[in-house]
Amino acid sequence: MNWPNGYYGQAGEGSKDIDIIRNLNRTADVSASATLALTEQVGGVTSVGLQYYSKRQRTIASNGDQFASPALSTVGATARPGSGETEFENVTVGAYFQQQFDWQQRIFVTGAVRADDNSAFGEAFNLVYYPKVSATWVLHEESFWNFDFLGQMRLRGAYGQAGKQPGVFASSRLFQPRAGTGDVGYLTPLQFGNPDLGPEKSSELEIGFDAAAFEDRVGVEFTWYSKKTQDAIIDAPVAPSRGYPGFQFVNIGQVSNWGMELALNLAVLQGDQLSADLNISGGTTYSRIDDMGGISEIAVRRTRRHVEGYPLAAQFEKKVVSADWVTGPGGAVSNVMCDGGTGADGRRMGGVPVPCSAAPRVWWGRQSEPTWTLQASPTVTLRQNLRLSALFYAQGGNMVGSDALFNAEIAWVNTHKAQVNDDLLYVAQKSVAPPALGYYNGGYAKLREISLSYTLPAQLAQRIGASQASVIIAGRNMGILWQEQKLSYLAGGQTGDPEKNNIPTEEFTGEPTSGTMPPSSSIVATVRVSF
Amino acid sequence: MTKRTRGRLFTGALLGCLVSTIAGCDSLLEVDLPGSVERADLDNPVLAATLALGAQSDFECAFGAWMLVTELWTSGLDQSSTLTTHSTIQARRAAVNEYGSATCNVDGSPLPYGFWGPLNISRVQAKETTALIQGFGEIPDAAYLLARLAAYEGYSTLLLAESFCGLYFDGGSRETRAEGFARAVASFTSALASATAATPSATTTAAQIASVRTMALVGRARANLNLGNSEAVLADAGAVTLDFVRTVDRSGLISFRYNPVFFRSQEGKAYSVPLMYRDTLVSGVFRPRIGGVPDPRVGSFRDGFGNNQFTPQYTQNKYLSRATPIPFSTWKEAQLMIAEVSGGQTAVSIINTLRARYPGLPVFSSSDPATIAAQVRQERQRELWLQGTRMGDMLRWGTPFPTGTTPANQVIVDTTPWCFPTMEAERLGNPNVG
Repeated sequence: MNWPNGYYGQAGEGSKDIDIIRNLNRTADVSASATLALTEQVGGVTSVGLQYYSKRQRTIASNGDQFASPALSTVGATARPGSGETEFENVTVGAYFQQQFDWQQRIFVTGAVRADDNSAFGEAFNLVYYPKVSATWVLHEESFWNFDFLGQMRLRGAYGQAGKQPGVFASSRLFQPRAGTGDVGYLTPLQFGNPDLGPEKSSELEIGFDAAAFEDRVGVEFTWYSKKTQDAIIDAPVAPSRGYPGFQFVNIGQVSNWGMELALNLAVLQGDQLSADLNISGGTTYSRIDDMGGISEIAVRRTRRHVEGYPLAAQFEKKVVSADWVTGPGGAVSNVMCDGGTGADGRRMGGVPVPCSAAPRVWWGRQSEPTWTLQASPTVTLRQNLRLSALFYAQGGNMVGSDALFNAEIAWVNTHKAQVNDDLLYVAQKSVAPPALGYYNGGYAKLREISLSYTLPAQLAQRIGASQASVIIAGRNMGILWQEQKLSYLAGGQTGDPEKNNIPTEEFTGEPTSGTMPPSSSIVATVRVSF
Repeated sequence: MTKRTRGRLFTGALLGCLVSTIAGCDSLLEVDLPGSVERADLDNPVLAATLALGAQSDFECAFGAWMLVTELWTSGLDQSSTLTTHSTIQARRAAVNEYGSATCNVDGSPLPYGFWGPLNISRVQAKETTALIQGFGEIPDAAYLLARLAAYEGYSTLLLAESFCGLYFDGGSRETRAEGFARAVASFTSALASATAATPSATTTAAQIASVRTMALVGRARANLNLGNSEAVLADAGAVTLDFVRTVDRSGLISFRYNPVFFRSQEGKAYSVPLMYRDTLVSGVFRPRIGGVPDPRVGSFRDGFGNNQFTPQYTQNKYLSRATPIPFSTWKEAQLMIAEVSGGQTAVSIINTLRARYPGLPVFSSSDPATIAAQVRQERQRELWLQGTRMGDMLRWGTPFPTGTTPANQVIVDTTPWCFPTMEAERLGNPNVG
């Protein structure tokens, strides 16, 4: 078997990579607070602080391939050894001042301001200031509160600003060393840079309440939030004609995020012999790019795009709506028509069909990240020793663009449709905009965990000299309870475990962790003993 | 001192520290970046030769990737791999426009086959380095360095103009191919002027200066050939010295500098020589015929199946090692440009002069202009095989691009024009792209 270069090293003769990574993180944190009783009814706490954070990472790498014999194993024993070294450093300095006032321990008002400076800021920027204000009102302490069933009620609200620093040297125009003509070192462009790069600032408003009713048997926590990020740091592609590769970090526009979180804690049964609890939590989250600073769109990865008026890193691709066979099924297609787009910007689906060469990349209707999550955890406890609990998790509202499904149709060509090529719309989509072959709705529900634990009676534990002992058997990731879409839209490829595919991790890039394996199912037995 | 007083003094000292520390923030924020160089650090006359080498090196990297892509795009090589990039290129799918920001690293790290970005990197770096060196004032070998930079800037521009339907320079508006060729002519003219002013020194020989000068002549002739300026072609091509060859340097030691054709054919089994080059089999080598005999200038051998395990692999035998250089500016090409422009018996004479270098090739004779023109084209195809001229030639001649299904079972999307579309990366990063 002639393995392509890169698989098991050159000509399948093995390879070895060693990376030595040294991280040096230095942190200094000084703070002080003073509690004051301003009057009999009004108290206050004053706090100040200073923080210094430095991160320095040095990586020394050595690698080699082509071992002459299986008995050899060092990098130096390879036919082609190589080495490399990288180093970067980032420093942040910040200070804060906070003042809290309370009135009769029932109403709390806090104001604070924080200032940060960072080594990665562009030359034009220095300190950045982040104010914050919050208030809490403990309603159930008020004299007018006469809802006996509602033992606790606390209203809260907060408004604050935070920031995110750009990466180290993100503002600089950089060149990197490389081997060139005659294997002699030279300098080639690495990064375009942006001297005006500054931090992004987000402002967030939260309103919510905490309540407990029926003698704390029912607990509710609710929060609604709205966040706006100004000067979001986004990778904007540098036009290759400018002679520099990759992306340029820019501060642009505004991004909005909003949603709500709700947690419900129910003590369904409370008895010495039998008790049952149910905890349910969930939330929604939405995003929208309000302003792109005049940029029409920013490519994130494959067909994910940041487009003004749409969610972050949403899927945009041409959609084939009709086509004709040239000679018949299995052959070429012609007269391929795509969705012509509609809406103010012409990028929503539902437009008049147009030739695909003139068609826009339309939005496929969903966020790339889930819009809702739901988690439920019931617990039953028998005689205070034996506990059975479970954890259910669900999410949905998003659209996944799977590289694996896309490659199965294009590169590996190992699906039924790819082999037979007799589905007209499939063949047409594949010829015009094949990444859409990997799209599907990503909603799913899973049984995350089911566990049975037994706490030994104290007398038994003491026999082995322990103060406490328990045995737990748990099954994790025990199964998929529901999948919104088991076959991809056009290709009909099996979507498989929804957690194995692209899962966005970065807030503004939606950069997926491509190739992420789903968590595996497992059975775990644990014995805990305390002495 | 009471406890309260000590508390107040401590608080005051702490606040004082805070104030003074914040005031001294700038020094705390100084960091090093020992693995890279900032733009400001390049403004150093000592780096002049290194910077000029850089533009040449960037071009050589770009040329390898660009040539491979143009060969696949025109089915001058067949895909025999499983790679999506190869399918997209040889099937001429619209998605090829996503490779605009890909790199020219032929070892595949990261995504290779960049044929828009890397040529622009070499073009812009040549231009910016020219401005740097001109700003250095009197430095050794300045004229030679400027000639070299202008010549590589010219070739970068030339290859872009030969292969792309629309051109964008430095984030500007769309320009036509003709405008691109005109820019290349201007660069080569500047190179010739600087080369004329250059003199040998302790670090630069007369041969090096002559090589850059001749390279600029070949390049300007090629640009003018595409512009239809016959007289200019004859003047420049006629001045090219006998047997001149300028190559793209390759390396057997550094993976991203391997000869890409060898690396991806012999080692990777990703490219196979197509049927049009395999008329005959002699001593295990497949060759096309010319004048009824096997043409020694083009060859391949059967090597099992390709990387995809089902396309028969016919591996080229022109480049036989990782370090084999690639000719890109040659006397032979100059002669064939004269033949193409002149036609008639001048072309016949040139064809036979070149054929005489290969024992066994028959003498060509004809008086029919169409036959002679067709033969000139075939001679170019064979003589300059895998040297980066195929796509430009086909577009200049209006030769239809291949259709049908590739040996890797990919249906070719046959839409015109056949030149490369605007790269998506350019559209997204350049507000002047419609």
